[in-house]
Amino acid sequence: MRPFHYLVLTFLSLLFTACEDVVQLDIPSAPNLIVVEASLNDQAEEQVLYLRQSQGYFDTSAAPVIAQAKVLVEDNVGNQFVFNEQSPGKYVWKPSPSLPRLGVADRIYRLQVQWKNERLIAISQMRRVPPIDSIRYRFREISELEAGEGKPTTGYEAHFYANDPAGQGDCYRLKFYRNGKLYNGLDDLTFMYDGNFQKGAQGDGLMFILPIRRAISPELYQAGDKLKVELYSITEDQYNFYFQARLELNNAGLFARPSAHIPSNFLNVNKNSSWQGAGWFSVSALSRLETVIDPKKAVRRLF
Amino acid sequence: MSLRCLFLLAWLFPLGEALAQQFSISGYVRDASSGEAIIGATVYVPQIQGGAQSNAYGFYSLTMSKGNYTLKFSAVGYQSREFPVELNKNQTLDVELRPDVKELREVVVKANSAEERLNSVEMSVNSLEMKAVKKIPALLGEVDLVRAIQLLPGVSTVGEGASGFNVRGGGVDQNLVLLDEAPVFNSSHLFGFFSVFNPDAVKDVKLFKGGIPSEYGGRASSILDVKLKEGNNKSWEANGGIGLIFSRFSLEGPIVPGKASFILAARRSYIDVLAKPFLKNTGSEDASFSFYDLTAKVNYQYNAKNNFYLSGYFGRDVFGSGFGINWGNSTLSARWNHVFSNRLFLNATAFRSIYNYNLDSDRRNRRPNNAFEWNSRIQTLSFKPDFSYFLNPLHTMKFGGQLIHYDFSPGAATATSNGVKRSFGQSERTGLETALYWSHDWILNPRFSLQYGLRWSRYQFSSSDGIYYDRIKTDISIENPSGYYLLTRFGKPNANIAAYANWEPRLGLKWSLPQQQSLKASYNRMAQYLHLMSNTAAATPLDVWTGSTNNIRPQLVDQWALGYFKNGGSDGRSWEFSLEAFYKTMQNQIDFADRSNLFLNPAFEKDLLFGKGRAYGLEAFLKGEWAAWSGWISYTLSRSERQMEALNQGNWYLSRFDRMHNLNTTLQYQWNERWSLGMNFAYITGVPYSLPVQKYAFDGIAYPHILPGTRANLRVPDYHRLDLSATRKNRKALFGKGSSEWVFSIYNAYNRRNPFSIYTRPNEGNTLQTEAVRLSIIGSIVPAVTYNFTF
Repeated sequence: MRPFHYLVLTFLSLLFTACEDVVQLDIPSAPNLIVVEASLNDQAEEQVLYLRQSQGYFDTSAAPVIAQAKVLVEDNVGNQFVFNEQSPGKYVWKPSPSLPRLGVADRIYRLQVQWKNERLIAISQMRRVPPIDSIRYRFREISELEAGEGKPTTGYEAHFYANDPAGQGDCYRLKFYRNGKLYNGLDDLTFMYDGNFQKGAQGDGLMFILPIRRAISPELYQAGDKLKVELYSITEDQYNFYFQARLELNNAGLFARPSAHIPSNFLNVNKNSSWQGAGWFSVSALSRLETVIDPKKAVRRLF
Repeated sequence: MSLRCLFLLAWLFPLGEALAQQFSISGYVRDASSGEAIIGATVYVPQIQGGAQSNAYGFYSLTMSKGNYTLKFSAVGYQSREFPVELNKNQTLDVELRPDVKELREVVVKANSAEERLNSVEMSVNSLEMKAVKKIPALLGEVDLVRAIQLLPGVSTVGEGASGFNVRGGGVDQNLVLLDEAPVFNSSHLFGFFSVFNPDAVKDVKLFKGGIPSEYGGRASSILDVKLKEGNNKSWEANGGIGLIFSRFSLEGPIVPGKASFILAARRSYIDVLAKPFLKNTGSEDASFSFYDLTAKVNYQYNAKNNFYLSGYFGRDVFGSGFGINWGNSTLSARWNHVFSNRLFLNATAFRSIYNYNLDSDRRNRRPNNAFEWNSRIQTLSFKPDFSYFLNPLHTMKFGGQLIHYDFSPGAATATSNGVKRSFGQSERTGLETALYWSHDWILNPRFSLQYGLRWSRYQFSSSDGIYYDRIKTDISIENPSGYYLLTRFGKPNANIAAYANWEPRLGLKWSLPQQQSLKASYNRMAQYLHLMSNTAAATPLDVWTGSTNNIRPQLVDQWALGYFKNGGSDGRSWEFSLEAFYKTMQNQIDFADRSNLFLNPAFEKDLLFGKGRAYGLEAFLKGEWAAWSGWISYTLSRSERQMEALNQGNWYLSRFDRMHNLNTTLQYQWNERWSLGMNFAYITGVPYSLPVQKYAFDGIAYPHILPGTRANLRVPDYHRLDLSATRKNRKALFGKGSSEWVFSIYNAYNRRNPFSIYTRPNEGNTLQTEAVRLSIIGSIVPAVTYNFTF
């Protein structure tokens, strides 16, 4: 749908003088939430999660943290992963020789957070992820897909190649980095259902469709750029979480939807407490592939 | 007297006629210069202090006792004519009226039409003449029907550029937009900035907001009945215009003089041509965006008893470069007018109407192994006989029926990845809508008249592959935000899965009071079997129409309205005023669960929420002329709310087109023979919206948190706008023939940034910080020049 919105915007701004002004608004106060950001994975490395408070929507100060909480992750085969507070709000689990990694495919994980008198729980399952076969790129001039102020007008359009495994219901989150920096704009939030964008789109078992493969090129890369692509398995619930988040983050214009609540799997056992949970707890299988853009290795056709 | 007795009585009348030796006189009223049928011409007979009106096809019929009468024919913008008639047998009298060239002196005739408005049972109805619409200052100088309608009481929209319109708190899908009897599914070009009606081809427009007669049905809130010109059958005529957006050209003329004629009208936008230079180095050089439409009609007056008409519309919007989208309507309607006797008139219509769109990721077919294509289509085929029986000047009966076959192809996509092709989407479905109706217009005495009728409608749903879904209640969860999941059922292909039938009573009453006043009341129930799946602020061209299913029950709307009407003034300074109150209840309304996925999703019914709606309001309308001034003021105070099972914690919330105050003024001033001036002013309450109250960081982005139960609890600032226009008539057009005019217009004259919406977003440079943004679709003054010609 994004190309469509792009066309609409170009067209309207050409035709009329559609304009956006930043305005100041007052919003009512509301109880803060306990927010978890726990994107854990199956790599043999340190696992980090963050506990913070939400704040007023226009509050410009740093978010208050949830410090001195007891944080424990358990799996359904009896392993316990204790997360210790490394700095206020930052909780870390360190691998040991006997427990080298946290995430194992198909296991179910439970996060428990005890803070003051609040006990919050999140449950997630680690799904599978396919390997990234390759990254290929070709030299070209800019198209409307990479257009934008200050962006290079020539360079390398890169695609990554991977196949969704047979079996319906695999969901993924795609992350991509240029020279170590994550593309984290609102348009870069990319997640998939099987080999396509959405459920019901019969993407099962496909090579990720073209717009997904090329999503890693929001702008053209230059020779020598280091490009890293990561594919995270997520649950269907997390897919829905991201889906709603993206709707809320890009909800502008003629075709905006009514604002809605972004779901969370982090729930207070006491439904009536003023401290409710938000954010997401996940354990993902992770595939990574890195490459350095080398003009000699550029291809002439990407598809 | 019970309804049943009235019903019987009405059918007994023909028996009485033999006793009183009555005869009928009937015929068509037409324009003397073009041969166009005149709608709503008044035939007044002083001897009986009553008369008739020509119907939508220009036909009138009067049945009176044997005797000598004078028939006075009059219509807005025409010179009146009188005919003495000796009525001693059934006879035919076709009448031609000459247009009144001195438009400033139409007063007498206009008073006639105002009187009609006062004295007829009809209420909550607005008629617009294209002549008047063309004088209203228009956005970019493009005369637009739907925008003109938005200046009427009870009509609102979610904002500038939004497609369609909302009538008395109803959704955009609750309007039946008819183009020569065929429904138009999407009445907009360019998402909603312009409507699909070519002003040069339109003859007459009528909007029914309440008290809807039983001959109309199928939509819950309103009927917009657009009638096309028939084409001049006396002489050739060309009209055209060059504007900033469109160029228009229409040609009309006789095929067989006096008997058959045609009109062909075309428009094309040329922004794509103008925009080319601005697209250099943007990567969009070869982008196309254009829209065009063709409207055509032929008619043949075979003899005094049979007239034939064929009309069609074809329009398309095309956008895109490598990736492209195009959409549009096409309609074709064939009509036969037959006069059985001087009293029984038939209009039989057969039509086909299609709306479809196509998205293609690979318009130039460069990479067929990695492509995506998506098609959606709705087609209707219908047959509709409508009979009018003119028993005598006090009784008119209408009856008829309609059969509509719907073919839904809501969304079929193919995605090809690395040469592997997959098809998906929603399965094809069909619907059959049938309706029968009957109504009786009865003038009981000069003070009191009534119109009552009944419509029976039925809808039957089947799916071509036999697949359908049952909605099963479950707990609300992330996976099932509506609180339902679907169970797939496999039935026989094309078998009937669900059927609904509804009785739709209609009633209108009028009491005339002294001093040109009247009181009116009406009630109508409307059933709607067609629903637009749209969850965005403005409806998009991709929104899908779906028929009722075993899960989606027909929308039912009951509306009560009360009105006070008063006319006043004298020659040259006349006015008409109306004040109406309405109350509407709506059953089986549809809203959408969070994350609802309505496109290409076979399980979209899972994401629907059902509930009810209500709307109520007060509408004041003052229309008048004062020497060289004319215009109207309309003001609406209203509310439109919905209540859904799993939305907003089950509490009532404002619909997104709720606009509490809606004030619209349009004024025209005829300065002299060459110059006329126009003005619009609008003041409208902002649309409701909701705002997040908290934010939290996730993945380095500030995610918004909205409090449950706060849907539509805030309002965008009020909207107000002034438009001006000046028209200069030239004596000659292009080649020294005909006439022409320059229209200078200024839209949004005082350059206000009227907000369409307010939304929040993370700051682009620092996605942990947030801001609120006010979006204006038209954020500045928009001047325009248009040149129109006719020869």
